[in-house]
Amino acid sequence: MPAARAMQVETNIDLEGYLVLGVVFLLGLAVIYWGFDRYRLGRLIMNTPTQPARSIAQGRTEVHGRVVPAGETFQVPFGPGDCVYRRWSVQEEREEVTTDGDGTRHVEKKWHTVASGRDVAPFYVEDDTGRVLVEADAGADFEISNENSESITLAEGQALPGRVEAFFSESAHRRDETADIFEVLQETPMGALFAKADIEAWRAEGHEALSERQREALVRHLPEAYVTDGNLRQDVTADEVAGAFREEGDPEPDYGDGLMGRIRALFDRGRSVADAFTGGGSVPSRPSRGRRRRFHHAVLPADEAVYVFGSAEPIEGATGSNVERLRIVEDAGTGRFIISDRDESGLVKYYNRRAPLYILVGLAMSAGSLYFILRGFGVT
Amino acid sequence: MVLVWIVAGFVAVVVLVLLAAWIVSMYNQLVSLQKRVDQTKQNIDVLLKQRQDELTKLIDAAQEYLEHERELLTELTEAREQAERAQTPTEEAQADEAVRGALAGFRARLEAYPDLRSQTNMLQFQERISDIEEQIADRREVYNEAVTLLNTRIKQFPYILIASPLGFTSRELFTATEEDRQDVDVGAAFE
Repeated sequence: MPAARAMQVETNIDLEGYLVLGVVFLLGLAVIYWGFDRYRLGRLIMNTPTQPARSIAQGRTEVHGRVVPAGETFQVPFGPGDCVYRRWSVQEEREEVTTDGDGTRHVEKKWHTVASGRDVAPFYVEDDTGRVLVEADAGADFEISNENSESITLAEGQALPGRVEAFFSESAHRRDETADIFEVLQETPMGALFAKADIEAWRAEGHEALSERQREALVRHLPEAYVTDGNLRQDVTADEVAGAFREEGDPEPDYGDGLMGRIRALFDRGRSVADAFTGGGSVPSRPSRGRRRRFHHAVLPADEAVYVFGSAEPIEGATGSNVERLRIVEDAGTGRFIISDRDESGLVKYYNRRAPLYILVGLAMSAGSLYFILRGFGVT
Repeated sequence: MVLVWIVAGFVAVVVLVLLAAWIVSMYNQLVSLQKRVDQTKQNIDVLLKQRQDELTKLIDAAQEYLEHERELLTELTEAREQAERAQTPTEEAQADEAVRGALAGFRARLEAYPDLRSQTNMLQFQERISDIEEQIADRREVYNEAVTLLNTRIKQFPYILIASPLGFTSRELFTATEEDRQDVDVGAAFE
């Protein structure tokens, strides 16, 4: 009997508590690792020499310059100006009611994210010697400083500021426009025309009698010279139609980065209108005036000073100077692709400050949770 | 008490693991810096080869017109060969000086041959060589930055504790020749 009693373990914490402590312990270890990773990243940036854009060599590279848009830009969500990167979120403060085991009600206010989005466009980084393309939409990590970030908190009942109102109005307009196009796309073979610029499929159907909606779509989305009597002109070629849907008029059929290109690509993949609009993020809606609201954005504006770390790779089939034949993408050797509005020394300081902080916090989390786990098992 | 010792032991283990990781990271940084210097050197060599090729084309194109300018062509050819033989940054600097001097002499003599001067390919060669020279200068700056980073790091504490025992050594910077550093005598150019 004494042996059996010795094998019993008394615990003071229930299973759920152990699970939480276990998660905190593991999270603490992860935070320690992440802190050390910030240290290594700071060193990597410090140890990589800066290259002028004119003479960048293929491979790992680091460039300073300013942002020059390569085509597409976005409106800064809650402010003026254009940007090549934006990340925004809208939060509402909501009450959560919980009831204790003894029936006591607790009311707690918490912030909930009701909408968010992220848009990235390729851009050029230009310095005194030249420029080179940055494929920022290919997995870059953006480190945006407070100078290009903003948070606006509104009290209950407070009206949206003009610039926030403008963002939601523009979003609603784009959502309506996209929904409009998508409905037309689904009327085959209009889908063939708009989605694939497939003139043969269009003409094989012998369209003479178009609906009013189809006529309007043709007039709205194709150049005036291509449409006659509300229908596609007979001598218009597939290349011309494809070119009308792309920004640069590249003769090779491709999905461009503009609205039509995105819609066409998503149409082929069977995605929704909301995805076409936000690229996968949630569709923004006006938050309720009856609650406190918080609007946050971080952007990389056009013409802003920028730091880029990645790898310079040749563009397939391109020749000539660096601006014509190279692009900066993720560095395969380190898995890093960093774009920041901070300069190199500012970025290194930013990472160096965070490294010891994360390590200490992670150590406190894991040591603390271990302490309570062991104490729960009766270890004193 | 046992509990405190166990938690303290855990903290000590984490700290030791971090220390080991830090030492490994220092070594990896030194290796990476060294490889970076090698890579930047290779990047310059790529452009030097391009310049050599362009020089060869320039000499071949000019030979027909400048048959009696043997001395000039010889100087250009010898400068090109000196650049091919250069191994160290000092030798490269001296070879660069020789190539630039020969090209300057070539451009000056070109004024006396309007037919040759106006040939499209001759202009293209010179423009191309000029572009390459600018890029070489840029990449030499990058090379010097990489060398400075390495040389500084292996002398700094605590890197110095592992750099010397593990055979990491300083590398030579690319420095301009004495002629490059002297003031330009504009008057002599017009004599």
